[in-house]
Amino acid sequence: MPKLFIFAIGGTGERVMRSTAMLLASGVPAFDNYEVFPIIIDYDKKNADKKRTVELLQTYNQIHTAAYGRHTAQGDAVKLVNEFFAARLRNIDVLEDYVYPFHPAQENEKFRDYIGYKTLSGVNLSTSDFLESLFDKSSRPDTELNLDMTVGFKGNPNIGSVVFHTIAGTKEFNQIMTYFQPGNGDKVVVIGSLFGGTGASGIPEIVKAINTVKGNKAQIATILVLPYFNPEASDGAAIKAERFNAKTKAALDFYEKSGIYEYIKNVYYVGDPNPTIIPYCDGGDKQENKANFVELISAMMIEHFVAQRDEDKKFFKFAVDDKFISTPGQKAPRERLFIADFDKVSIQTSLNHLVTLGIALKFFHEEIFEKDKKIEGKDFYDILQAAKKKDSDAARRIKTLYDELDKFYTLFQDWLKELDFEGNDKHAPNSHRVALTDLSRKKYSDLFMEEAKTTEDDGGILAAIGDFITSRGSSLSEDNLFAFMNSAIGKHLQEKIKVLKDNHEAEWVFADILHDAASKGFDRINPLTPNKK
Amino acid sequence: MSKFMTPENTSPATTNTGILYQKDPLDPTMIDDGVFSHGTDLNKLGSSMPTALARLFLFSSALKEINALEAQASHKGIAHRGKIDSDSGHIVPTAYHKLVDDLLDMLEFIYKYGDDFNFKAERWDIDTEYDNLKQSNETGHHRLAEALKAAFSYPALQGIKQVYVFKWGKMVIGGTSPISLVYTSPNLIDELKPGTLVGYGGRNLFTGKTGITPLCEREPAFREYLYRLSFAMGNNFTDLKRFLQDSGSEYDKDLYDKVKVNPANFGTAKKLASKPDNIDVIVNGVQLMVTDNTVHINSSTSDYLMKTTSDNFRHNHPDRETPLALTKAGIPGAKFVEPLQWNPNMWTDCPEKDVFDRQLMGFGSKVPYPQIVPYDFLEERIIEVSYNLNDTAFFTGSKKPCRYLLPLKKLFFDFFKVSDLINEKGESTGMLTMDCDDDHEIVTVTLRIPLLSDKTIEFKKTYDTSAKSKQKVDAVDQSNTFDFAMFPCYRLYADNRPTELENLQATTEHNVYNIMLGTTIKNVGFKFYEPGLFHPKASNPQEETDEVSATNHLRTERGVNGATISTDHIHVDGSFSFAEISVPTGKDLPATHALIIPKFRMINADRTKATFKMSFAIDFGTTNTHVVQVKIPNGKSFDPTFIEAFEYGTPNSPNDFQMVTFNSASGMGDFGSFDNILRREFVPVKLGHDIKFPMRTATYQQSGKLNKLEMFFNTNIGFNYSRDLVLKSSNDYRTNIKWDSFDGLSEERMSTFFEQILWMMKNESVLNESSDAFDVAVTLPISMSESDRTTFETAWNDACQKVRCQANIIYCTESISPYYEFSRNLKFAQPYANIDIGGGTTDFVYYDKNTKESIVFSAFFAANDLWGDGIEKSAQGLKENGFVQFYKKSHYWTDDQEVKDVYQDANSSADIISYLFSNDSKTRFSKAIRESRDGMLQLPVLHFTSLIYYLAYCVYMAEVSVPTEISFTGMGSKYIQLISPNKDVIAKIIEAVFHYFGKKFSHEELEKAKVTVHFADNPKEVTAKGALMSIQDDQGIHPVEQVYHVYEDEDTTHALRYNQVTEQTIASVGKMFNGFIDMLEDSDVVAVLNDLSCDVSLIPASLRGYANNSLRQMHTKKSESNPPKTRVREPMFFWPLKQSLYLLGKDIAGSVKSEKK
Repeated sequence: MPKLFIFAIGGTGERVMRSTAMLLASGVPAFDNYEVFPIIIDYDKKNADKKRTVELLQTYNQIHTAAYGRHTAQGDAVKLVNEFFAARLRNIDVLEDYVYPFHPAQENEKFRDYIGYKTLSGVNLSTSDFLESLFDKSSRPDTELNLDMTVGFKGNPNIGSVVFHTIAGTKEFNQIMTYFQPGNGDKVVVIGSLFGGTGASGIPEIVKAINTVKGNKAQIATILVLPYFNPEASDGAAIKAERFNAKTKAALDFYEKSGIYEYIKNVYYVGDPNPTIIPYCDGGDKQENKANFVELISAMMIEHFVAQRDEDKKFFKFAVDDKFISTPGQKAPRERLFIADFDKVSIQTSLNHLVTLGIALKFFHEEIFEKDKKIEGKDFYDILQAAKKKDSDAARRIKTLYDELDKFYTLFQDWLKELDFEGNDKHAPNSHRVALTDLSRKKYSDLFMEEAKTTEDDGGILAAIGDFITSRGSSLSEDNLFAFMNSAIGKHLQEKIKVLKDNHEAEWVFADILHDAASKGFDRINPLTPNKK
Repeated sequence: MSKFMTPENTSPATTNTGILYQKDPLDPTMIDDGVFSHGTDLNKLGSSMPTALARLFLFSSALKEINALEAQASHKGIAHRGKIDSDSGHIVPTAYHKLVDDLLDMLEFIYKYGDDFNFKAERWDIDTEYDNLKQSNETGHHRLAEALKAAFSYPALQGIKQVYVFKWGKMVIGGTSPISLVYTSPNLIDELKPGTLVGYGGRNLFTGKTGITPLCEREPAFREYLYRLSFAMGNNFTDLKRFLQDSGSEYDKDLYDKVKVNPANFGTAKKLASKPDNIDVIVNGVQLMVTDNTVHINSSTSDYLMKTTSDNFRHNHPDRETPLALTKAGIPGAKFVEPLQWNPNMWTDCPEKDVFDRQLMGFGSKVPYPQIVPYDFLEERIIEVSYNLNDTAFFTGSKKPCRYLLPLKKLFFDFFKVSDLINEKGESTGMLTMDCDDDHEIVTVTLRIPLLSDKTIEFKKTYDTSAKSKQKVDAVDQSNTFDFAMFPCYRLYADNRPTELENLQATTEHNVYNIMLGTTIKNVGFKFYEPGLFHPKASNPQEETDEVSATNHLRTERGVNGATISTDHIHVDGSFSFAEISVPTGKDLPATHALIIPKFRMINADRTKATFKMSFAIDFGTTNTHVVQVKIPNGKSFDPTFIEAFEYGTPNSPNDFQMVTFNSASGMGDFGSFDNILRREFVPVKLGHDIKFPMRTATYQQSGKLNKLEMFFNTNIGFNYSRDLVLKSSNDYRTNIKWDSFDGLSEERMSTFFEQILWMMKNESVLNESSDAFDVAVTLPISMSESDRTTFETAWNDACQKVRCQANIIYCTESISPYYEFSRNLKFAQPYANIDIGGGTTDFVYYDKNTKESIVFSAFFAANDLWGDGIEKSAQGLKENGFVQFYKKSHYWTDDQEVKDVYQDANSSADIISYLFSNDSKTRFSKAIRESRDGMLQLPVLHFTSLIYYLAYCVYMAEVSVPTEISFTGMGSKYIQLISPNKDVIAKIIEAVFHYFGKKFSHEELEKAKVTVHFADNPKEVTAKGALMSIQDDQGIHPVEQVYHVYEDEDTTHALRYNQVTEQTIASVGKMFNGFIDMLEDSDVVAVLNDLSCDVSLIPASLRGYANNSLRQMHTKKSESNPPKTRVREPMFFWPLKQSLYLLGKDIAGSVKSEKK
C-alpha cells in the first residue's frame, strides 16, 4: 500500500489539510488504498487552525477505524475502493496527533541569540561581517536579527529557513524517512504559503532535506499557495498584506533561481488575486480562518498529484475565470462558483464526491442518527441491528461510527458554509464563494447546487440573481435513499436470508451501503450526468 | 489583474476553471504588486526569500521585474526609469527600480573606489568559515554553520566556494553574489550618512528614499564598463546581463554599439583584488574591475583653475598645483574636470581644513587636488564696530559708509595680491565688494575670483547682522569695542632692483609702522603680513612665513589708574601689506578674524624720483620747540620766503596725513573715549590747527617705573600737553626734558622726542613729493657741555637709525640762527647783536658787517630762571615760584576751575606760568606783573639787565665795537615786553646798563653807546627759521664761539675747566657780580628804571644776601655733574642769580598783600 506524506506547513498548510481531509472523507478514488501521513508543522504552538485541523483528522480517523478497522485488519481481499473515509490516516508515533514537535527556538528567543550573533569574534568576525551584509540589524523589532521567533517568523522566510534547516537533523524527520520508500510508489506533498513566514521557510528546506536523504527518486509535489487572503490593516502589525504579492514574487523567483525545482516532481501554484479580507491576527489561538476556495483547490491539487494525471508535466496552476468575484459593496457578474463551473476532471475526480458525501451525511444525520429505532422496519436497519446483537464489537463500532459520523457531519457542514461564506456585519464575504452543497436544504434534490439561469431580456447580459436554486427534474427523497440503502445491502447478505455474510462486518457494511446509496442518489440529482441535461 | 489564476497555456481541461499545466515555472513578474514605497520595505523583499542568502538573490529578482517591464510594448524605452502609474500617468520608480539603483550604485562605487585604501573586498570562504564556526563552543554558531552551509547547497550555488564581503572602512556595505554579481547590505539605509559613499559627480549613493539614477544617466565611463562586463557574463547573471544590454540597446545606443565592436577591451581599468590576500575578485566567472582614477587637471580639462597673481602658496612647497575655485552653484556652462560635469550634489560643505589636503569634489576620496571654496577666503563671522570705517585709508569693499570689518581670510593673499583689490590710486578694482544693507540687516560680501579660463567665479557670503545673529561679532558697545590708528600710512616702495623679491626686500627696509590700538576688549590681536617676503618661522625653522615681525606693548591698562580703555602700541619693523585682526568671539568659540588692508600712499623710494627737496629746522628749546620746513623744487635755489611752520593735514597741506585712524572722519562712534588717549599717546591727526608749532617742549610718558623709554611704547611727544593741562587729564607729561638732570631717563626721553619728530619729518618729506633724504637743521646752545652735546647728537643719530631715513642732521648754534632771520629783513651795516632768550639758555650772537667779526656766546640763564622752581632738587614740583604765589594773591586770580586745575595738576611752576601766559587774555597774568612795578616786575628787570650787563662784558672782553642794533628772539624774550612794550624804553635800559659798564670798566664806546632795539614778531620762530636759512647759506657767518665767565683777570686764551675753578675764582665771580648789584643802585640806571615806575631799591640788599649762596650752590652742582676736566661752557656770572631770582621772587610775593577779595 503506497504511502502519501502530506507536510502541511503553517496556517495555510493546516487549512489545506482540512480541505484535504474532506476530500479524503468523500472517498475520491485517487486516494484509494493509500496510507496518508498528515504531518503538520507549525512553529506557532497555539495556532487555532492547527487545533481544528487536528480535531478533524482525529474524527476522520475515528470514523475510518470504526468502519474499516476490523475489516482491513483481517486482510480481506476486498480493497477499500469507492468508500467514504477510505484512506487510512497514519500518525507516526513520534508525532503528536499528526503534529511535528518542531520548536527549535526558546520562548521569546531572538534570532540574533539563536545564532550567537553577538559572540561572533576572533576567526568568526568575518562571518559576523557576512551576516551584517545579509541581515537587517537595526533595532526595530520586526527586523531580522531582532526578531522574536516565539510565534513564527512573521514574514521573514530568510530567518525561518535558518531555523527550518535544523528539521533535517531531527529524529522525527529520520523516522519519517524510514517510512518513506520512493520505490514503493510513496509520495510526498509539501504545502505552504509563499507570502508568510513558516510555510515559505519550510517548503524548500523540507524538499531539500528529503532530497538529501532520498535523492531524485523521491516523488515530491509542492503546493505553493500564493496570496489569497488579506488580514485587515492594523497599526503596528508585523504582517502587512500589501507586501504579500511582492514577497511572493521574491520567493517564487528564489525557487526558480536557486534550482530547488530540480528536486520537485510536480509544482502546483494556487492563489487568489482578489484576496478575501480576514480579521487581523498575528497567530496563536485566535488564528482560525474560514475555509477558502483556494484551500479546496490546493487539496484537489494533491488529488491531481496522487492520481498521477498529466505525468509528463511538472508545473501546474489553478485557473478560474475572473468573473467570479465577490467583493463587498460591488456587484460582480457572478458571486459564486458552482460545480458546473469547474472542469470535468475536477468535477469527476473530486467535487462530485464531496456532494455525494454531503448527501450521505445529511441522510445519515437526519434519517438514521437522529431517528434511530424510528426507522425500524427498514431492511438495512433491521439487518444491521441483528448483526449488532450477534456481535458486540460491531455494536460498539457502529456506535462509534455513528457518533463520529455525526460529528463529522457538523464539521463538514461548517466547512461547506465557510467555503460559501457570504459575509456578515463584521466580516467580508469570501471573494470567491464556492457553493458545492448545502446540507441544510430540505430537499435532497437541492443538494447539487448550481447557478440559476435568467431570461436574457436585458440585452443578453448574464445577471447574478443570488442563490436562487432551481430544483432538478429528477427528484431525490429520503425514501429514495432508504430504498437505495436497502438495495445496496443486498450484496452483503447471505443468499436468500437477511443475514450478513461472514467477514462482512456490520460497521463496514453500513459505511459501504451508505456510500452506495448516496452515490445512487447523487446520480439522480447530478445535472452533469450524461444524458441528464 | 494577476495572471496566476487565469489560463495562459493550453490546458487539458475543457473549461476555463481548473488545474492547468504550464511549461515553465510561474513567472513572478506576472504578479502585480503595485507601486509601493521605498525605504525599509526594500529589506522586507529580501527577507521574503527562504534562504539566509536572500540578498544574493534579491537584486536579480528586481532586475527580472524591470526586464519584464521593458519587454512590454507600453514600457519599452521607459521601464528603466520607472513604471507608468495608471492613476497619474507618471513614470514612477518602483521598489524594484530602487533595488536595481542600489545594485548599480554598488557597481559604480566599486568601479570608482575599488582600489581606495578604505575599500576592502574580504574573502569569506565557505568551508573555512564553516570549520571556524564549528570549532566554537557556542551552540548558536554550530546552527549558523550548518545553516550557511546548507544555504550554499542549493543547485544554483553548488560550486561556489566563496563570496567577498565589501567594506568601507569598518562599515559593511555589501558583497558579491553569484546570482546578481553584487548586493548591498540591508543596513546601509539606516547607517549611511549622506556624503559617505558617493559616486561620479559627487552623487550620494544608496540614498534609500530618494529617486533613482537610471544607468543611462550615469557616468559614460561607468556605463561603458558595465556594457563590457555584460559581454563577459556568458550564461551567468542572466537578469543583470539582459538589463545591461537592454539599457545599452534601448537607452544608450551609440556607446553600446561602440562597446560591441570590441567588448573585451576594458582599457586602463584594473582588476579588483581582495584584501588582504590580494586575490582577483572573480564572481561566477566575471572579474570585477576598478577604473583608472588618474585625473588630469589643467586648463584644457577644467575651467575652474584659479588665475592666481601670487604664488606664495608654493613657497614652502614648490610642487603645489594651482587650485580650483569652486562654489556649490558652479558656473553654468563651465567645464569642471573632465570627464565630470559639475553638479551641486558634488559639493562638500566641510572639506578638509588644508586646501592642499583636499580630495577633489565629485571624485570621492580618489583624487587629491587643492580646491578653494568660499569658506577659505571668507570668514564665518563679521565684526561690527559703532563707527564708520575710514575708507580713505583702508579698503572696505563698500561704496557706502561701512561699519563692518573686511571678513577676508589671510589665505586669499597666498594666491592674490593687494593690488588685485585696490589699484594704484587706492580705488577698488571690484574684485571684492561688500554690500551693507542696514534695512534688512544683512551684509553681502562678494569675491570675484578670476579663472584661467577667463571666466570668473563668485564667492558670495551673506552675513546676518541682526541683533542676536551668530554670524556677527558685536564690537559696537563702548565697553566692548576697539579702534586703532596707524602711523604713517604710506609705503615707500622700491622698483629698481633686479628682481621682485629684491624690490620687496628693499621696500621693507624703508618702512616702519606704529599702530596704536585702543580697546575695551581683552585679547584683540594684530598680525602683519608682507606676502612674498618669507623668513623662517620661530616655531618651525624648516618652514618660512611671511608674517612681519612686530612688537607689542601694553601702555595703558583699562582699570588701572582709572583708565577706561587699554592701549597697545605695536611697532611693525618693516613693510606690510595687510594685517589680520583677531577679536574674541565668545566663550568656547575661536576668535573671529578680519583683514585690515591699508590704502597706503605708494611712494617710490628712489630718491632720484623725488621732485622736491625738503629741509627742516628744529629749535628744540627748553620750554618750547619750534619746527619749520621748506619745500624747494629740485634744481631751484633756496628761497627763505617758502619757509613755513611744520604742519600737515591742514588746508595748506591737505594730502599729507601722517597718522590715520581706523574710524572715518565722521568720528569714533560710541568709542569717543579713544580720541583723548589717541591725542595723548600718539601723533596729531592734523598739525597746524589745534596743535601747532611752536609748542611746549614736553613728552608724554607712561606712569610708573620704567626701565627704558621707547617711542610710543611708553613715551611720545606731548602734543596734547596744553589740552591735557586744561582737561586735567594726565600728570604724565614731562617738561624740561632738554636739561633735566634729575631723571636717569632724561637722555632716552630726548632721544625718543627726536625719533618721533624725525619720523614726522620723514613722513612730511615723502608725502610731499620729496624723499626720505632731507636736511634737518638742529640748533643747540654753545653753552652745552661736550657730554651733553654728545648725548644730544647721539640721540639724533639713534633716531635716524630707527626711522630709516637719510636725514642730514646739521647742528647749528642757536645763537646765530636769529641773525639769519633778522639779516634778511634788517639790511643793516652796523654792529649787530641778537639775544635769544630761551627757557634754559640765552644765546648771544654778535656780528660786525664791517669787520666781519662774529662771536657767539651762550649762558645757562634764561626764562626758566625767572619762572622756574630754582635749582634745588627738593623744590622741584613744589610750584612755589614767586610769580605763581603772587598771582594767587592778585585780584586777577579767579575761581576759574580750569586755572585751578592747571595749578593743581601742573608739574612745575614753569608749566603753570606757561599756561598763564598762553591764556593771558583770560588770566591777565602779564597785566598783574606789569602792574606790580614795585614788586614782581623787579625780577624781569633784574633778569634782563643781567643779560645786558653780560653782553656789555662780552663786548668789552672781545674788544669789538658796541652793537648798535640789538634784537631779541626766543620765547623767553617775551618777558621783556612786560617791562615795556616800547622798544625805545628798552633801548634806554640797555644804554643805561652799557653806560654804567663803560664807566665802571672805562670803556668809552660803551659809556656812550646808543642802541636800537628790535623784537621779533614771533620770537620763537626766528631761531628755527634762521637755522634753516643758515644751512642753506654758504656765505653766512661763522662766528667764533666764546665763553666769558666774568671774573677778574679772566684768561680767554685758555679754556676753563671745572677742576680749575678754585675758591678764588668763585670769589672773583662773586666780586664781579657785586658790580652788577651795584649797578642797581647807580643813579642813572635807577633813573631810567624810575621812568618806568619800576623801583628796584630793595633788590640789592636781598640779592647780596642770596647771591653768594646761589653761586656756591651752582658751583657744587656743576662740579658734581661734570667731569673735572670738562670745560666750563657757561658764564659763571649768572650762577649767583640762578637761585637768587627764585628766592627773591618768593620774598617779594610773600610781601605782597593779598588782593583777593
